[in-house]
Amino acid sequence: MRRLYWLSFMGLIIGVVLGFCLRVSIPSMYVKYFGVAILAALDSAFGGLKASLEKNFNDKLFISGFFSNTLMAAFIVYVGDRIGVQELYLAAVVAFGLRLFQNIAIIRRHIFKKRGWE
Amino acid sequence: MKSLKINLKKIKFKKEEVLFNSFLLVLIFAILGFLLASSFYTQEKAERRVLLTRRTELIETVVNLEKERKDLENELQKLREQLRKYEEKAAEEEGILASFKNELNKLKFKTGLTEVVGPGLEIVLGDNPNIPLKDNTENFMIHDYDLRTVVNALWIGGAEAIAINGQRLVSVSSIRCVGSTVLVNAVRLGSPFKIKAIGNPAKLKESLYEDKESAQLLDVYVRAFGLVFDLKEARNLRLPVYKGSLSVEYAKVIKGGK
Repeated sequence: MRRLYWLSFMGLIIGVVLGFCLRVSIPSMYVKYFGVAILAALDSAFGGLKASLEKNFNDKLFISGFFSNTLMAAFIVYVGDRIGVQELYLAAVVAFGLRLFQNIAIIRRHIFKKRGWE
Repeated sequence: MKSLKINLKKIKFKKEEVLFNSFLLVLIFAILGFLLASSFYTQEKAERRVLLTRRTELIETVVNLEKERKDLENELQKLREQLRKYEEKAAEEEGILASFKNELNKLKFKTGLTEVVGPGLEIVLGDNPNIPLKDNTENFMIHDYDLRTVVNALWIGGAEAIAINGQRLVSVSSIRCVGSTVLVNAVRLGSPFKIKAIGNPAKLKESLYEDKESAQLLDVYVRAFGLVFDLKEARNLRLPVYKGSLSVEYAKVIKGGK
């Protein structure tokens, strides 16, 4: 089980190093989209970790979830900008934020269970 | 707790499936890391952009320096006036100096340190008032080289004194391009440019259309690009004095030379 944490951490490090090496800078008009994309990625990553810990990780569900969440979030931001409700992106932020905290809570519980601190 | 245990029993993964799932997890976390790093990088870059505000300060400095130069010009003007008075006084007192004064006046006239009046040409050249956005906008503007062409043609036509927008052209004058303006005698001028030249009007006009480049500008480009152009003969032009500096630091007069 511990291997999963290490794998996640390693993936994160690889991504960060890659990001700083490639020096991609986001045009200011896409900053909002990017923020929501980060949240979607966070949600998927921790969701995946949680599922792995529960041993019901489904690769198809995982990948499709990642892409559909990201695209839907971007779409909501776009629609909000078009119809003049710029705050619509908050819907995506709140949804992902909630899920993120739930997932983290479950992961925490797993760790506690594992170590017998409960 | 119970449901967790049931789950554990229910699903059993094969070894390669576990490997693939681990790979997916790493991949997603890598994407997450990449997004985070990119957004940190962008944020940092945006903060660095604040430095551009320095530009505004530089513009302010230029404006201040220009004002300072104008003050100095005025002072120079005053001092020259004073000098002229002293010279006059001296010439009155000593008759011998009268001839020198005469010579000095001639030289002053030639160097552009006196106002001059006389007949000549008055030319107005300006950018096209409605510059089309799509085309090459450069073509629709009057540039430093256009002014040089016209001025050179005027000199060839025997012009005795020329001024552009009140800047008298003298031996040390230059006409050059600075951004969207033209720098004459270190003063920035904008379109439209009014060129006044004293000389034989007919000859000046002839020279303007005899010079190849000048003729091309006035005949072809003006029409093709809708530039502002006006040519008038004038009986009584009045050209201002040269207000810039004529100080000599390095050049020396050869003693006994001509």
